[in-house]
Amino acid sequence: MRSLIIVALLLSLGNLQAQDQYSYKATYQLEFQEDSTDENSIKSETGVLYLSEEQSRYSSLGKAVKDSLENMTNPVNMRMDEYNQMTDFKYTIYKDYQDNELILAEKVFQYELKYKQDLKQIDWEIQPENKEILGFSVQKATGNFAGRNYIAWFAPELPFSDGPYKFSGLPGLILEISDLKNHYHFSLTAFEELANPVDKLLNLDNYKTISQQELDQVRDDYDRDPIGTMQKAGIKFGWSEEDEAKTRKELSEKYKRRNNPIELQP
Amino acid sequence: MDHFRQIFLFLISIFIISIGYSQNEISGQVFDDQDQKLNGATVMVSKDSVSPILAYGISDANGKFKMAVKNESNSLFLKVSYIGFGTFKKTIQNKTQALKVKLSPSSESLKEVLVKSEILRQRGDTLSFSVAAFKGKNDRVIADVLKKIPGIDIRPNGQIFYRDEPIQKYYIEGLDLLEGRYNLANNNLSAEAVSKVEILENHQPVKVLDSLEFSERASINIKLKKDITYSGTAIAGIGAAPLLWQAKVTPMIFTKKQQAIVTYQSNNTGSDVSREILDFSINFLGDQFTIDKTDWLSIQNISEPPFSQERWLDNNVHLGSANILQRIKENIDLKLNISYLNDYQQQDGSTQTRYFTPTDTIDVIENTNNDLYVSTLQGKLTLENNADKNYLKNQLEFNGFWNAARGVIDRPDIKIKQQLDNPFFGIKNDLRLLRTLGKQLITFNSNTGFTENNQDLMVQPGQFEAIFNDGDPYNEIQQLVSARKIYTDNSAGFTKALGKFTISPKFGFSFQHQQLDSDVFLNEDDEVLDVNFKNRTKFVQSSVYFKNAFRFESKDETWNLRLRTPLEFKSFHLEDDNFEDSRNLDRLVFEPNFYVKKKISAFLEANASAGLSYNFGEIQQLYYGFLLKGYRNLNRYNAPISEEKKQNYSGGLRYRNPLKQLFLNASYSYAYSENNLLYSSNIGENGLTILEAVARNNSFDNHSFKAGGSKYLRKLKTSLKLNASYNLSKRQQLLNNTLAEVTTQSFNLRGSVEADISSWLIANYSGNFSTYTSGFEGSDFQKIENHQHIIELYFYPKDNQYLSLSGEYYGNSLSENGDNYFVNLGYQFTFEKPKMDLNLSWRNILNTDTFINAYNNQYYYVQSSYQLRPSQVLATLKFSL
Repeated sequence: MRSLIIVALLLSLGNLQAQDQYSYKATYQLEFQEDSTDENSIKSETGVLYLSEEQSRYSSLGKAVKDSLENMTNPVNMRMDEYNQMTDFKYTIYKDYQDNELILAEKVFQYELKYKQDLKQIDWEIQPENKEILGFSVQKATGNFAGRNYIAWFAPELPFSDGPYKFSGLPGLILEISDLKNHYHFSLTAFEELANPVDKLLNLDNYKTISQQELDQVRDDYDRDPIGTMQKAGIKFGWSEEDEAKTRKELSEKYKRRNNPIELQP
Repeated sequence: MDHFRQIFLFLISIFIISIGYSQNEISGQVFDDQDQKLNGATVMVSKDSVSPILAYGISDANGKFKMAVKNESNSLFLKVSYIGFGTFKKTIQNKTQALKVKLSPSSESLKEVLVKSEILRQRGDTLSFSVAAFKGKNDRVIADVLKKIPGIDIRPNGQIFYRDEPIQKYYIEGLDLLEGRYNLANNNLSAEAVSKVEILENHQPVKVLDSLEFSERASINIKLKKDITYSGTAIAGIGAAPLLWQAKVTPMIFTKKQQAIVTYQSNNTGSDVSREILDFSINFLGDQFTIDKTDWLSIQNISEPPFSQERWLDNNVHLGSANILQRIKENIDLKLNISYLNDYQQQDGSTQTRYFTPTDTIDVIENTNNDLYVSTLQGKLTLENNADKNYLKNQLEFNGFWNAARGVIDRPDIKIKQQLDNPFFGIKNDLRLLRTLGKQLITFNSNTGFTENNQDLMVQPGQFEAIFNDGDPYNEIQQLVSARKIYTDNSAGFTKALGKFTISPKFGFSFQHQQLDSDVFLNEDDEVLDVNFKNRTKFVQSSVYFKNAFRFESKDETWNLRLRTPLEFKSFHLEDDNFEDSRNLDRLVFEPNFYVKKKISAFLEANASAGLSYNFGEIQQLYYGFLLKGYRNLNRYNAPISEEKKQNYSGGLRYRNPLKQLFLNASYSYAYSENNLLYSSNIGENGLTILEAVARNNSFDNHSFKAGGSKYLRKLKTSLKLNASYNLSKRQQLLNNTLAEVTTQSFNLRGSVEADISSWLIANYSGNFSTYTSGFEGSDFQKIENHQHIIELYFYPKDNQYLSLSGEYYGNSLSENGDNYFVNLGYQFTFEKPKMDLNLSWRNILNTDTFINAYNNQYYYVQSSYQLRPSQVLATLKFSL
């Protein structure tokens, strides 16, 4: 019996080591318009796409650094090279080419949630136009996704059928993609092979699987009333009666400005 | 008809396409050099090696791909790529065919690019925000700007949160002038004077700890535009009737090496001036000993109404505060924070108290009229040396109170005057030292303090005639109390992480010496010589302790355990020169405390805790001779040093489902304690109460249940909340020399509805119902029900305007005229030029003159009425200096 346990342990250890690593990294600059009615509400963020033969992981830079911090065995003694940025996007998207599946995982306040989708979300149409981006020859493709029409430029030279956010399925890495209104615009700023490959750290067991609609709803509930959400979870504040409504009003104004999500329809 | 045309056109177009292009399907399978199928290879065809792609495919898990080619060209150029393999290139015929592609490994790496070197942030780096970018037209002080910065939240009491965590430090130009009392700067520093707000993430304010202790907290630094800055705000308000005023002025100055903020505030509107000097600092030092004010004697009070004090507090307050910082050398700061408060308050009301004893009921009716005089000086002198290799913080703090009170009790038969002087003085020094010893960090704390009380209560005419004057009326009784305390607490410790566990042992000793002297005088100089009315008590407590805490958290965060195991040797020695008696108690106490939390599923969590603790007598329950605590309370504890052993157990469940927006929780806790002393109350005519302690083992137990839930209805934008709690406790008590087991039960139900009716209207309702029952051995003697209903409406007609309206009801089942109704109105308007806020409020519109309340305690109930402020209108104007 005991030897069986040891064997099982060894096997699981072996599994851990066999889990391969991301050896390429693509960095994108995302510019997006937070408020669809206000052209001056453009914000910018950095997104990172880690790539391997079978899988990829996309998140905002701030989120990527936070994850690696939390997974360190001894965070106290280690220094990291990148530091936490502010992010408006707290999700991580895992694409699995083998299973033709993508998983979006997100921690909303203290709730760990995820949903699964088919990897193939877009019927791309290849267009004849060519151009060059950062020395890569890229070809144009158009497609429709979640209520927006996109123009993508992909590099056949980089044999990853992948891209930022949920975008994938072209015969080469997407280096630039934006919707026709230019509300969301991703462009590649760096592509590199990693000298020290990054571990996959794919442990989403604690994340509860729900539908995309449900996750969007939970995120929206939190954005609309973060204070209420925290109160319901048992966090107490020293409220003074009069200021409460004032604070809530301010937060709801903030919420109203965030009216332009990347996916307009599920 | 239209449909037909569409279908017709569609059919024609298909026909044309099939004539124009022949469609060929090219399929195939991709393998590596070992004949393993390759998944995710990209396959493309074009006319020739340079022209655009005509069709493409991605190989599936079996390495298979399929493409439809619509082109007339005779030949096609095929490319197949996969990471780590050379690109397969071949010219093929344009016809439907199945291909087998074998890729060979290649060591050629992919081309790398980097647009510009991105500025990667280092840990502890600073996020910097230009104030000009965030400042809106209505913003006046820095707090208005701060709350717009992403990640920052300011709670209504003024505390600043960054990503849901309270900030650690609030610096101005890198200097920590105000410690935790940053409201003073945040609410008064003009946004015009500030150039940048810096957020120092994961900021470790103590430099020695920088590489040793990871800080989760952020701090804020305010960068000013000029090297020398003068700023501030002012508020002026006026109202009626009678004449009301409110004034506040807060000037400030900042230079590179010197900073100062001064404030003066005054009002007679019942407003709490202490709000601006709330302290949000996180205290590292032990709080076992304090120099907080303790009162031995008091005049008879009336219980305060449960709503905003601006509607009942009759005050006349002045507050001055000065905060000065001087940078002496690099890393060394000297700070002085000093404040003085002067207040005169008046209380008017009446109470009717009914005492229940196993044999009798006693009624007391009192009309109370109190004048309270408060005069307080508080100060802190801090020296901080925050160097790379060592850290020193020494804080000298003092509290001085020169309070006095006068009270008149009007009873149907008699008028009783009380006069109280209750000054208090306390001073303490807290030292914290951190030093690195090799790779280990050693912490050393030393706290020492001294307090002094000289209190004096005079009652005219004298009470307790039977005791003090053979039952004959007499003119006056005076109680004098003098109490002194000196303490020192010193400890050393370190923190170490061992894998998933963290241990932080602490070793130390403490010593406290207290002296209590009391005397009673009758009719001015007639000293009561009976030893039973004198105290000359010396009480010495000393302790040696070893405290340790283990913490464990499982990697997947489903288990969370904590175990505390403090071990302490305590020694008590009491000596009374007057009684020529002494008492000793030595105890080795082990007070373990265990807590566990388990995440059962994504939305369900359970927790449990258990603990054992001991409480030993304090000098407040240790004197032999009688003390006249209030005009009708005489207490003494002529008994051994009290020992209490207390067990606590609790368990709870929490269900939080964000999908359904349903949140539920339930908990139960049980406490059981054993005590060696029993308290005996003798209640006589007119509520004269004599309290004594008797050596007799007894126990106390308490059950408490709580449950609550909330639900948000998305369609109605409304949230509902309901909470219920039930408490049952039993304790033994000697009432008029009869042993009684007093049972008390309380039940409380609270509910609320909050609805965002539209963008310009928010409506809230909350209701509260509670019952309180007490009784002796199964016979309940009184049950009181309390009701409370509050409706609030908030209107936002425009961005710069705000109107609030509230209606309140309070009632109880005991009082005959116990219904209380209130209506209040508030309005605010923000002017753009000059930048000012105008605030109008009309409180107590119905002009309700008294608040009637009823509550009960173990063996008595009280009905009280409190004189409120009349209907009043107040206008205030707030502007920058």
